[in-house]
Amino acid sequence: MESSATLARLRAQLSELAPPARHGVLALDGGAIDAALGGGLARGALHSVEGAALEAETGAVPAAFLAALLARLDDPRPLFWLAPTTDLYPPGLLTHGLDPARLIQLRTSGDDETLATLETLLRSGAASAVVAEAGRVGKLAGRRLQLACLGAGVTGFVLRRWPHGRRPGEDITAAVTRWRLAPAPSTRDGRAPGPPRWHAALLHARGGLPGHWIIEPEDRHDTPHPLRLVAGLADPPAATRRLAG
Amino acid sequence: MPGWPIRRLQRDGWPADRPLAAVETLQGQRRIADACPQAQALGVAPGQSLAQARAVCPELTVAEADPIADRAGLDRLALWCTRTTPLAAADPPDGLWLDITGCAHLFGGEQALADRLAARLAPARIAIAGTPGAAWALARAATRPAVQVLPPGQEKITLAPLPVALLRLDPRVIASLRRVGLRSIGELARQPRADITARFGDTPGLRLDQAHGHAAEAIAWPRAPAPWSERLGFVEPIGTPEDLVRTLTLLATTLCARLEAAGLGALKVSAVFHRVDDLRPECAIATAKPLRDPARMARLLGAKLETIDPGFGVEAVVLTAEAVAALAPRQDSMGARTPQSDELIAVLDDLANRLSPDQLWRPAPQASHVPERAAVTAPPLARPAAWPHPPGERPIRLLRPPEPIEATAPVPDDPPILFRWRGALHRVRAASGPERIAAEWWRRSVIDTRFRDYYRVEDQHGARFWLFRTGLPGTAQPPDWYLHGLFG
Repeated sequence: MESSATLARLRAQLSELAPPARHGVLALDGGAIDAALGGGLARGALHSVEGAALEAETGAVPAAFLAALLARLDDPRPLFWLAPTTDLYPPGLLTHGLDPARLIQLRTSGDDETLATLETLLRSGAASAVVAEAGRVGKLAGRRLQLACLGAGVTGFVLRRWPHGRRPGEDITAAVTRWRLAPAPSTRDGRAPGPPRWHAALLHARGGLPGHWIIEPEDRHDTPHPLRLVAGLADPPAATRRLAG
Repeated sequence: MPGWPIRRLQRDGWPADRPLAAVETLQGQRRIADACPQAQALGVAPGQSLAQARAVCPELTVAEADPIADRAGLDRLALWCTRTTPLAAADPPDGLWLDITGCAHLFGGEQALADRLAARLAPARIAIAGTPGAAWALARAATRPAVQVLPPGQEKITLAPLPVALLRLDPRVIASLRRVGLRSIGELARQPRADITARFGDTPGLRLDQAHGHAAEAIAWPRAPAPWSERLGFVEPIGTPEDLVRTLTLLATTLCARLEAAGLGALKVSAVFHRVDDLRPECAIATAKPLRDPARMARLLGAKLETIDPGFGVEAVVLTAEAVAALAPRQDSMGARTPQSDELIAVLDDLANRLSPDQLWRPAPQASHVPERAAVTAPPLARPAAWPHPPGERPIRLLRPPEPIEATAPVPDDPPILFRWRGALHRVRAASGPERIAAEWWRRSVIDTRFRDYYRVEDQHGARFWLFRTGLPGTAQPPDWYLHGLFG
C-alpha cells in the first residue's frame, strides 16, 4: 500500500513538472480511451497515426480517423493537410463530419518538404491543426515538431504512410501519442456493410497507458465525442500484433 | 534624326563650328562613318577612307565612332520623349518611335504636336502616319517636308512614288529589286505578290503590308522605370549572405516608408543584384495582400537568397515594388479574431513563395456527379464555399485514375464476390449498390463515354472499397471493373 501511495505522489510531482496537456484536451469517447489517455487527446502536441498492413500504404482508415477527430476541434482557424499525393477526396470528409471548407491543402514534393512545411505551420500559429502525410520522420525532426506544437498551441498529426511492407525508419518517439489503425469487420446490415469499424491500437501515450479497442466513428455529428467504443480488447487483434513487432 | 552620331558627338562637347567626322575601323582600314553637314559640304562623305577625307579637308576634326554610346543617347532621348506619350522607343541607328495614339489632343492636335517636337529636336524630321512603316518612310524621304502629318487612309497613295529603299529592307534585297526595275513602292505593290515572295522572300510583302496597314507590327517599347525602387551601391563589393540580408532589410525599410507615405502596399517585389562581372541575378516574391512590413518583406526575400550566386561580389542591390495596391492603415478590432488572421496571410505568403503557388489550395465543390470533377481547387484565401452533401457515400481516398481490377461476379448485375487489386485477393463479405453515374454527355471525352455502376464493398478484414463496373454484360464489350476509391 505504501509503495502505491509513494508512486501516486511521485506521479503527481511529475505531472506538475511537465503537464502533459498545456493547451487542453480533446475528448475522444468520454470513456475508456480518454481514461487511458489521461483525460483526452492533448491539444498543442504532436501525434503519430499509422495504418496496419495495407492501410499503411493507402492511409484510408487513418485519414478517416483524423477527419472524425478534426471535425470536433472547435477552432475558427483553418486546418492544413499536407501530402506528397493528392488522393485525399474532400467530399469523403463530409461523411465523417468534417467540412472541407475548413481545409487548406498543400502538395509537397517529398518527406523533407512536408516536414519543413509542417514545422513552419506549427510555429506560425495560423492553423488549428495540421495533418502531414510522411513516411520517414527522424528523431531530431520529431523533437523539433513536438516543440513547435507546444510553443504555438497547434495540434500536429503525422499520418505515416509507406509502400506496403517497407516500413521506413523508427517510430516518432517525441510524439505524445502513437496510434495504429486497422479496419475491422462491421456488423452487416443485410448484405450491405454497416457503419465502419476500426481496430485502434494506442501504442504509446505519454502520461497514459497503451491499449487496444474496437471503435466506431460517431455518425451523429451533434454528439460531443467523435468515437464510440464497441469493445475493449485484452489482446491486440492478430493483424495489428503481427505488424507491431 | 538625321546625322544622329554627329549630333551626339557635338552634344558631348565636340566643336560644332568646325568640320567633324566620326571614324570607324573597318577591316583594318580607318573609314568615315558619319560627317557633319559642314564637312560634307567640303567633300567628306561617309565610306571614304580617313586619308582621302584628310586630303579633301585638312582641317577635319576626327572623333571615334561609338555605336553603343549612340544607342544609349537615343534611349535617353526616347525617355525624354515620354513627356509626350508613354510609348516611346529608340529605333537605331538614328530614329525614334512615338506612339501618340490618344495623346495628340493634349498638345492641340497632331500638327501642333509635330511642330512642337520639331522645335525642340531640330533638325529632326518628323512624320505622323497611321502605320509605323509609313511614318518611317515619310520621315526619311528627301522629297517630303521635314514635318508632315499624313491624313488617315492616305498611306498607299503617298508612299507609291517613294523609292523601295524606304521600306526598311535589307540592302541586298533593295539592290536586287532595283536590278529588275522595281524602283518605287508603287511599282512593287502592283506586282503579283506570289512572284515577289518567290523571288525575294516574304520580307518585301510583309513590309509593304505593314506600311499600308494590312499587317500588324510590334514595336518593343522599353519598360517605363518603376517609381517604387530603391538602390544601394557599395564601394567594396559584398558577398556574404549576412550582408545581403542586411542590405535587403535596409532597402525594404526605405521602400516601405515611401509606400506608407503614399498609402500603398507592394504586391510584387523583386530584388536585382548587380554583380561585379555584370551579371544580374534577381529574385522576386509575390504576396496575397499588399505588404508594407519591412521585416516581412526582407524575410520573404531572404528565403530566396539561396538561389542568388553572388559570384565575385555584388556592387549594388536594387529593390523594386513592381506591383502596388492601396493599403489603408488598419485598426485592429477588439472583438474575436477572424479566421483570416494576419498570421494566416503571413504564413500563406511564406509558403507560396517557398513552394510554388499551385501547390497550395483550398478545396472547393463543383456541381458534378462525376467523382473526379466534384472537387476543384480554389486559391487558399478565397471565400470558403458551402459543400453540398454528396448523393451517396463518398470515399476518403480517390484514386486518379481508377485502377483496373480482376473481379469475379456470379450474376452480371451483382457486386463481385472476390477481386484482386495490387496483387492481393479480397473476398467481399458485404456490398451495397449500385449507384449509377453517367458520363456528362456535354463533355465529350474519349475514354469516359460509358456510365459506371458504383458498389461499396467490404472485404474479409473490414477494409472498404469503392468499385465500379463499366459496360453492359451481353454486349460486344464485356464489363470492366475498376477500383476508384477507399473508404475509411
